[in-house]
Amino acid sequence: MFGIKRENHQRMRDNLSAYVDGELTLAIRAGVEGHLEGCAECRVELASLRSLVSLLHQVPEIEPRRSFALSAAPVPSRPGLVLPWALRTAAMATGVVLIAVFSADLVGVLPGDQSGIGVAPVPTTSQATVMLQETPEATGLPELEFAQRDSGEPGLETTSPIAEADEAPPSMAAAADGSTAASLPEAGKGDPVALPTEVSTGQEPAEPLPSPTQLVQFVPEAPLDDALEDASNGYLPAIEGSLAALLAGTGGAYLFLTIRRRRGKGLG
Amino acid sequence: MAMTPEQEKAYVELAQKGDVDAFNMLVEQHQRLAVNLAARLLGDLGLGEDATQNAFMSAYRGLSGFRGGNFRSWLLRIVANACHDIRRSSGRRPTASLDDEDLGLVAVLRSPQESPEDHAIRMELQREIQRGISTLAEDQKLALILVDVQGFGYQEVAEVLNANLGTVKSRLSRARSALRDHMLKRRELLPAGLRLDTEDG
Repeated sequence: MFGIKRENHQRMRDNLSAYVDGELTLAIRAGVEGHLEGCAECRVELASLRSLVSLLHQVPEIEPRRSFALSAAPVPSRPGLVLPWALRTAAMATGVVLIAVFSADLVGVLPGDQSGIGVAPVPTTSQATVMLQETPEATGLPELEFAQRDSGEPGLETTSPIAEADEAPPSMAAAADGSTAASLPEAGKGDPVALPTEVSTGQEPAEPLPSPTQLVQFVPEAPLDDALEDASNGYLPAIEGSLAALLAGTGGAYLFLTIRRRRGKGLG
Repeated sequence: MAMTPEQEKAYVELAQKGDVDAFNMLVEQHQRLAVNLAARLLGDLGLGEDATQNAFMSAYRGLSGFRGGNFRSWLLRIVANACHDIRRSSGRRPTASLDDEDLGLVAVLRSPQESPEDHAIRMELQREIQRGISTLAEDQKLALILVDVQGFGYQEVAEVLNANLGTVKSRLSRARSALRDHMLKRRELLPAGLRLDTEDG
């Protein structure tokens, strides 16, 4: 009963609203006007609607601040692509750097790796010679094995000490496990003091640079070893961690924006 | 300078063949209406401009889907969709907070005989109207803006809404009732002699 009344009331309201706009058919309009003659409530409603409409007619028109004409260039498929594209590029660049760092880490180029020593901390020839002279007693077994192996390979002596030093950090390789030594079956029975003696004498001007293996021999006990350990324990993991965090963050942001953009594209 | 229906049809056909200049003639013709609708729908002039630009780009790309008829209705439906899209993507709630950036929505010229206080009240009245519009449901908002602000007839609104005349009539009636209730809460802003009350006396 009340539902029907409410429905009729709403229908009358709709008709009154359309009546204000002159959007009723002649028949319905006549019916509304007939109702209005006998219904004070609807007359008040009609006056109220007319007031509201007149108020809305005074709403100012917005002046466009710019033209929306399209350029002759191809229309971009979607607004707001700049940021995702930049993020994608950044993610790719970060990934490449990360892969490069891990790869370098694996082959032992970077300092602190257990299979190799870095380029930067390797001392100069003169420094190495001094170290050699100052620590003749550094003759531990692992170092001896490496020294003996390398001393038996003359070709190595012609290469740069730095390049050679990259190959084998005796202390780390030996301390890590036996795998490095096991891969070198020829290593073994050298005289640990022979090489230091040769270098320290320095009697051959034609060969001013000490053998790389001679450098390697004294690295474990030297201050250089501490520097390498520091690099291994702090510097390199920090770089790798930062790069991984950067990659994860960039990738996450790109994923978020992509999902949000696709969700928006499906609407409307 | 208004465009005749024949001119508009000719520009549409050229634009459908990829003529950007012809399409831009249509843009110039309809951009004022488009940005007014978008800014009122979103309650934000900047977002309204973004939606308008997006709508024109969408319209250009979708021109092949226009099969004739009322180009303006077709375009405004795209504008309404662009507004819907922007509101979703921006996460902006359709509330009625208007900051200084939105003053373009409520700016009214001050008449020479109008005092600064009266002008400020008129500005606040416009701000309150926009707040009230922003509280409406989207379909009601669209109908009310097109009819009461832009002066559209029901038939064209029905084309924009893709609905029948009865639906337009109903949505508009409900929108007006809701907006009236909103404005009655700030009746001190209403001009003297304007009666929004629905109770006699």
